[in-house]
Amino acid sequence: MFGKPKKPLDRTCYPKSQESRPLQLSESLGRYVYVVDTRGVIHVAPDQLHMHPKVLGSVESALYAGEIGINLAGIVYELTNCSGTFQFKSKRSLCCVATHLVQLGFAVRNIIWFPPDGNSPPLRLQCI
Amino acid sequence: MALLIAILEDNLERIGVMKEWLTDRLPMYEHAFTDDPETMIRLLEVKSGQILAVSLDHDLYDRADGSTELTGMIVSDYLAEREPTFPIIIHSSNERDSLTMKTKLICGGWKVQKVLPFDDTNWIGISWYPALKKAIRRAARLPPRIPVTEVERD
Repeated sequence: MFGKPKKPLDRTCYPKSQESRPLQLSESLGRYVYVVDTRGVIHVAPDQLHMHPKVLGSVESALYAGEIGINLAGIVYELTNCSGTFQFKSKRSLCCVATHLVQLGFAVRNIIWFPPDGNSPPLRLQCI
Repeated sequence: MALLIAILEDNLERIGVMKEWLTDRLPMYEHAFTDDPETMIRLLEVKSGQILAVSLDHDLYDRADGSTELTGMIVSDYLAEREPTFPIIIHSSNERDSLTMKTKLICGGWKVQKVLPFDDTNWIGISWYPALKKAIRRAARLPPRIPVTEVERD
């Protein structure tokens, strides 16, 4: 289960990016930012600067956010909680994202949790 | 105390974009920029044990003094003589000298990745930030499984 939804720290009312879409197994390889909406749907957009607040847009709350990388074989080679505007802290919720990805049909390889206080290197979670 | 990502870079535009990426994605860590190799070495000594990653440019011609003597090679020479403790990115258009830096560091046991700048500052988002994160990811520790009873707040 995810924790409480959180609004982005950047309260600018951006429109939703036209490149934002719900993640599907057919997604092409690449690096993306993701945001989990309050219904639990994982949305992705291209990995660009300041993209997180534009994935849902309109200062919408999210259950989680970070980065996701998909390789040629359709494998998620990286899943993180890195988002300057959302800054989610929960390891458990990151594992929830990984579980959702598996339910969508992805294989998930590296679940990397970055500590919110930055006082240690990231942790490689084994939650699937 | 937050771990440090230390960057040797002289170009203000590059510094601006690098700062934006680090603030956008890795705000939990401290970020330090300098265009001076000696300052970088002092920083690495003072913050010993608290460095998450280092990124080094070679040519530092945009320094106020326009020096062609002070380069990232000074830092790589210093590090090559020491115990490897963090990953290093070399981001430089100077193919020959950055390869020399890389070779010295690898021979010293360091994990090094070279990033070649291209397309103004666009390479920072396309290849530098991913390379930096990959290097950090590879250094990630394996924790025990998350206990069912663990309570966390977002």
